Amino acid sequence: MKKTYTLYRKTFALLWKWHPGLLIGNLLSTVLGTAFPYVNLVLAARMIDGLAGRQTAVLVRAVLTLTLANLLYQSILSVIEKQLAIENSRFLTTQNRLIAEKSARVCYETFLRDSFQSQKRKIYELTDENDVKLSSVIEVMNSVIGCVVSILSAAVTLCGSGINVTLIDTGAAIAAAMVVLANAVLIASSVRRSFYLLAHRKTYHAQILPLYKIGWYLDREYLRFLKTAKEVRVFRQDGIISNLIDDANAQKYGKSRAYEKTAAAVNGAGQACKQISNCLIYLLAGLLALRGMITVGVFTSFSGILKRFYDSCVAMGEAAVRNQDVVLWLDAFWEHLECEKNTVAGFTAESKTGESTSICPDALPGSDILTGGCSQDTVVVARNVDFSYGKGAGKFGIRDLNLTIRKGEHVAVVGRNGSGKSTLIMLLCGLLRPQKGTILVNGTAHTDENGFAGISVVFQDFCLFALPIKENIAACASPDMQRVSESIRFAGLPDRFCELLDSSLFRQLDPNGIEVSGGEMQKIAIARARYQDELIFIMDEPTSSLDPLSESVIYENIHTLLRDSTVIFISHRLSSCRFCDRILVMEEGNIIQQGRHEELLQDEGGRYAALWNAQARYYQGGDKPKVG
Amino acid sequence: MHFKDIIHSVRYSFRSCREWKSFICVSMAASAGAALLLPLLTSYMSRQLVQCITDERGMYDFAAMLLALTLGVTALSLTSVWAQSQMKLGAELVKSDLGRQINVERMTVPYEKTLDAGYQRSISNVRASVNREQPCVVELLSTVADVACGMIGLLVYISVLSSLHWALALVVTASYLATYFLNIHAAGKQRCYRDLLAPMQRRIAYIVSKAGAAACAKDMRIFHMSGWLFEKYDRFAAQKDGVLRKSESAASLNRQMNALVHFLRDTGIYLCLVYLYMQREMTVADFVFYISLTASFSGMLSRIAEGMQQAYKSGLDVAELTAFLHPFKEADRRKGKRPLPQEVETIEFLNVLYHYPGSSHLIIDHLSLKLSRTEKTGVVGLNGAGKTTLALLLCGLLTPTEGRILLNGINITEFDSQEYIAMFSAVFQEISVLPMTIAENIALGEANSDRLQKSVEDAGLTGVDLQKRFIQEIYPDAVSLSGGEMQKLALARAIYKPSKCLILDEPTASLDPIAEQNLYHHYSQFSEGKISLFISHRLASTLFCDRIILLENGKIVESGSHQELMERGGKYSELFETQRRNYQREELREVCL
Repeated sequence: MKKTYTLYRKTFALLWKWHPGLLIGNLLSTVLGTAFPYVNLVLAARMIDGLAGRQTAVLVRAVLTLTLANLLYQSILSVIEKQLAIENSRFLTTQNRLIAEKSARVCYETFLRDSFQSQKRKIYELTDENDVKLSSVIEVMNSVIGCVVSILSAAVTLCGSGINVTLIDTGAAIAAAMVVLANAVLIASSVRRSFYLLAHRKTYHAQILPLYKIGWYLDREYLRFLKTAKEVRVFRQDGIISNLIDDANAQKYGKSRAYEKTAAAVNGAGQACKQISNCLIYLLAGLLALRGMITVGVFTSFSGILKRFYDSCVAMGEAAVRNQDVVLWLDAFWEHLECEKNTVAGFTAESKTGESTSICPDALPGSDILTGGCSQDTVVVARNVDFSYGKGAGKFGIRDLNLTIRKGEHVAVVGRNGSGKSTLIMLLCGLLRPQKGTILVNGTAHTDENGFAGISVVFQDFCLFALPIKENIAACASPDMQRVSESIRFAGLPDRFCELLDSSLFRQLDPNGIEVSGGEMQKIAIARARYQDELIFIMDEPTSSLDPLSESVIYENIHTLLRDSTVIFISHRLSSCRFCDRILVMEEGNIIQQGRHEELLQDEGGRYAALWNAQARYYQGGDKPKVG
Repeated sequence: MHFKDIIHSVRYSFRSCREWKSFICVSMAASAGAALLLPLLTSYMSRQLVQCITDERGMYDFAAMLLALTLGVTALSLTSVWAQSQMKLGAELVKSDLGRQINVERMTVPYEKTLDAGYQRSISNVRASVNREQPCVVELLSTVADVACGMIGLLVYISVLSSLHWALALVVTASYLATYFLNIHAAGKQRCYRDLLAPMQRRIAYIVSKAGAAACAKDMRIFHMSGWLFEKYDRFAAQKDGVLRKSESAASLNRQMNALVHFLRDTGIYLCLVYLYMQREMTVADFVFYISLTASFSGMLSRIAEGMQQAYKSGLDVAELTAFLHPFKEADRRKGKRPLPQEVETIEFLNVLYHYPGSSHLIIDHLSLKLSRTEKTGVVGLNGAGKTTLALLLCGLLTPTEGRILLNGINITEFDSQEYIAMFSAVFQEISVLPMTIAENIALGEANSDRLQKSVEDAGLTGVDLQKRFIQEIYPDAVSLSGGEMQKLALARAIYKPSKCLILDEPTASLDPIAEQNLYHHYSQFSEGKISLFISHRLASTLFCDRIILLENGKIVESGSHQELMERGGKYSELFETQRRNYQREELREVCL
């Protein structure tokens, strides 16, 4: 109970802060919407009663009052509804923004975590399943307020409807009491049925969720993307995919039938109860009218009022059921939004053993580079670093790694697939934090959710956006055009790109967008890294999609234009390593060899020599090697 | 859309529904019928009860009347409940069936068509209209049923009123026409606003999905992109807000005009009734009857107008659906096609030209090439030379704009295109997996474990548990492979498939040198006896090909074996030298340090 209260309180506080109009509008519309029908009934009753008098003027006045009241009500409601529709749309935008911002601002490790992702997924699943959003709290609020207003209005109108109290006898009183009791029982049974149906619905959804997900993935994700179209046709996947979907649908249908039967039975029972209640109310009203305790007009309104009252009570029960769904959703939402609240801005890397590491001071004269101390010259220092993705992750971590990189050094990292190169890069970026040991970049171990400051990265799986190219390169809305041109030249993009800078990338959002090839995308990513003009560049396979000429242009530019910057890159094309100051060879999470190209080659049994020869042999001698 | 198109849509919907479940149509009719009779019966009930009271009959008469009528009303409501639940089930069946047809269509339509932005949009429109709560087909039929019953009700209502006085019928008809025209006008405006809003919604949804996506997470943090992205988000949201305001204002105005018309109509009718009551001997009960009838039917009248709008919209959706599915005629496509030959000896390009539809830029320019089973062919060239397009033309995914492609001397258009494509095995640059185990992804259906084992070994995909499944969103214990492992999986899949031709498009981009070497070692084994095409940037790979062609701007500029091309001293040798230079032991290139 307390949890429900806290959740609602937080949500209403949020609503009030961002969209007060939504709360006020809903309040007004509910009050109006619930109270007015009673007014309507009373006016209609007056009109019917006026028939007995046979006075035209009175009747005409009654008619006009009724119709004008309706007109006024509709007009006011229409204006309120307009505002509500706008506010609702705005609020939905706000809700999505909050969730997206959380994903964007939380630190990368948390983002990767299973719990974080599954939390987010849960929110969306619950939204789809139960049609709940953040603004659903307002639905519940509306139902509660509606019920209260309904009760009050009913009481007021009944009292004001001129029941001749003196004529009420015991018979009528007993009848009234019995009707009230019967209605209470009917309402209670309605509420119980709603909860029963809710339980069934939950089971039903739990059963069809995996089936639904398969269909959703294949239909919305797999087939939607152009890139799968080729594979689908070449490998004749249409049969398999259709079968997967058909199986899932057939199973779903079976479960739906069972559920619908229950739902129909519950709804039918609800309707039956409603009609029984109507019947009883009419009986009571008829009794009172036939005994002369109420007039004909009051008879018509009496039954109307009590029917409305019954409906509001049942709606209140439905709201209690809905509340369950809403609370579930709110719980998931707030849990997601509030995770990691304390560790957002600025933290130092703490080792898992509990000892905190100090921030390295600027210059310790005469520190020993080999033992990993820092000096003015070193930009990256890693000491006894351990990292693993967690058991069963299937990816190698890093084990007891030590590394020092000096300012202005160009370092290549090579190794077999899965040796830990990309993990090392992530640690050097500061997006992942070591579980043991320290990493100091630019003399500090301080990272925030954006990793270390002062580095620029081209990832292997980089991401570009369907927004103007110049903004993609600058990663901001108002780019410095000079720097943009310079970055374009650095990346080796053709000159025609200078004219296309204002166009959007891709055609997703803008039909006039530019489609680019894989190679051009990689060059844009390189240009983006260059634009930042940081002193440390990290690149993970920056030329995998580029042809030999473009590739050599890039490495040429790196070695000339980035002469004074520190560059660390991973490449499978060992030719790019030749001109580096140092090469790190990784295997199973360790650096097993370090040194310049010539030194490493001399160790003929070593890993580097093996990798190098595997590629170089094809370019030497000039004759076709015999295939083993 | 013309009237006869609407009729056509309705007939299509009716036919489709009947195929699946006839009870959908019965339940729709029942639902509409109940919706018509219920207000009539409730009005009649209030009339009778009031009559009882004014006539001062006994309690028993009253109770008897009440019970009888309540039973009638209950029966109608229960029918309605039953009908609704049957319609829901039927809608689900219809959805699955139509969904399947749409998927088959979009998976088998010629590849070229899928690149067309217009086609993609129509796919998403059609999918959206089928995946709604009520698929468009069901929606059309049920709205037509509702409108039909509504019209009957309207006629009944008008005739009942006109039996009283002709003026009443006139007032009702006039008000109905007025609301009808108001709503048509409003619906037109709303359509315009919706068209404006759709791209805006897409933009907003795009930012949200990107900001939260795993693929963008790293870049977003390193480049501090959240400020930029959310600023864009706010701007897009404000734009949308502006349009939404206008749209809602228009809708609100329409509602108020409708309210005004209702007011005039209700006042007119009530005053008329009062007049009649004063003139003739109309009982109070009758007065109550007509009042409640008016109240019930005013709702029905606006629903008829809405219903017609809705039916029009659904009709458009169904028309789009029928147009989309029209080509879905399996048997027709196969007509008059030759069976594929048992063995594929040669595939020949004769003066082939290709440009994407809608663009005049020639990607393949007068290309002639003969590929044979006995010769492994390598394709090299700079980015944008047309290598991938050549591969797509070869395997039949694209059709030449001009020129012909011959299989064993026969034009490939004479073969069934689906079968032709299925002859090929390919590794493309982008690799996708289905939500099944790794083994199932490789074998795609049947699982011959020896063959599977061999393919996995040849591709070098050892050390991976083949029984693990993909796609984390569906299976919590799902696995995700690295770039290199994915490439090996794609290779295994291509090797496993018993095909006559093999295309490899940059299959080593993510592989380390030793894995790359492994691939070259096994290449001649698994491409034995097949027509094979190997596209790569790394000229080392072409050493394993019997013949190499160098593409530039869609033309073959050089062709021959590695030896021949090196001796010729042309562009190929230049390219080779660029790469070789870096691998030379002796020369130390001058590096500006």
